[in-house]
Amino acid sequence: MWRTVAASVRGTSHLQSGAPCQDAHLVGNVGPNLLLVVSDGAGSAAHSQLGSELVCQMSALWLDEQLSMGERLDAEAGPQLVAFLRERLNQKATELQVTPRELACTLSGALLGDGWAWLVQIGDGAIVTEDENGVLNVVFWPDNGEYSNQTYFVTDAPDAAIHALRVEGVPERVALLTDGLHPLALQLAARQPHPPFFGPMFAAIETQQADSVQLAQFLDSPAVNARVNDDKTLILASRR
Amino acid sequence: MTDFSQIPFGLAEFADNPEPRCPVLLLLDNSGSMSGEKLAQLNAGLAAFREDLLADELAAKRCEIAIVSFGPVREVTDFVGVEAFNPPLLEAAGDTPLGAAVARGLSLLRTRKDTIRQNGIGLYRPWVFLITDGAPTDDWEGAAAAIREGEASKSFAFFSVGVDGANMDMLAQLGPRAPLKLSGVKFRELFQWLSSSLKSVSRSTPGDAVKLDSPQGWAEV
Repeated sequence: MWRTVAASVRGTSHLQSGAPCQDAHLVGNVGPNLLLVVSDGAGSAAHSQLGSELVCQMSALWLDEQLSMGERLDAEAGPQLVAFLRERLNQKATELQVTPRELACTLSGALLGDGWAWLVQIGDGAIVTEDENGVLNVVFWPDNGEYSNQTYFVTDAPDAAIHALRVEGVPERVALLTDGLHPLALQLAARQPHPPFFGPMFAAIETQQADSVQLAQFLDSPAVNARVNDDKTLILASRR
Repeated sequence: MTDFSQIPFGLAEFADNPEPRCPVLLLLDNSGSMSGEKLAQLNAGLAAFREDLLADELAAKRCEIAIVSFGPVREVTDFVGVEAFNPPLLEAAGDTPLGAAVARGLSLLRTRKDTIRQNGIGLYRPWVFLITDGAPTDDWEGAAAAIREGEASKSFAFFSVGVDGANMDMLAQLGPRAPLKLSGVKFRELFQWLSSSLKSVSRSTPGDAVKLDSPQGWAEV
């Protein structure tokens, strides 16, 4: 039913400084539902690539547990998920003998069910959906705090910065991206998605059988790297 | 050559977004005591500063520079992009109205931040950099209050540098960060450090503090 591609690519600035790719992503099934998660590790945190990986894996685990117990996910599940993730991040931090801040990362997630969807975000990733009328929407506008080079992290976001909601109905197309791609995919001043970006991207997986390897090549292409130098993650999912 | 339209994803068009801006306010002492080698090296440092920033693609697009010199208080340059920045040749002039210079500079900065925001353009936390070699000849306590308030509200990050002859005790009271003492007339090194630090900011992925290089290249430890 769903076609998906996903890739995380190290940004050229990380290449230069020798830092690893601190973005992570996950595409998987939670029961019959499709889960899409992206997480962007804080550049200033030494082990944030471990944080972002952990957040993706543990989000899947927690959601699986919730649904197995028959829980209905809604806005309140946001802080509950975050509490669980913090426990796991704290455990990991203790193991590594570092502070949890060294694992700081953002989170954007979409769980797509049968006639419903649950969406969650902490930080400056973005979830973009397209409905059956072709209207694109950014579910939660990337959360930067006061300055463009700041954001909120799973490790220490205040409650007001934890965004979660349940929607009835399922989008036709869903994209998740970390902030490395925002300058290309979003119209920042207008606070909306850039349709000439998303249209061809979705079409490529719907009509050209494009795969994740080709997506990674695109994300690492000269055209993209000329405009952005941060780590880049993109997940595309389509029901068409 | 493959037909571009046959490359998956090749038809995606990119949005046209302006770069976020990082305002850098320089408050520079050109009082009488700065005459001679001090000002000569400061001027040379400013020219090199521009070249350093220009050499980095992102810093060149994102940094904006304003200069207020004192005394007398003079707005040498209002915020301008690196390419359009004309490094001034400061000349030794009057006394050291540091308080008034800070007030003038912070006012320029406030206006610039409003303009950037009103145009929906991204903003990095601004830098305010004060370089002085003496003691203020005006009331600086008001300036100190404004600096502490700005730091507390994260309106800007304030750094002060004392040149040979500076009243370091006063500078220590001016802002929350310990002032740095310039070693000799190593202005060139100071501005290299500043441009390098700004390049880190231009590249910063989401985070709160940017790790700055040690200023040991130009500061007395």
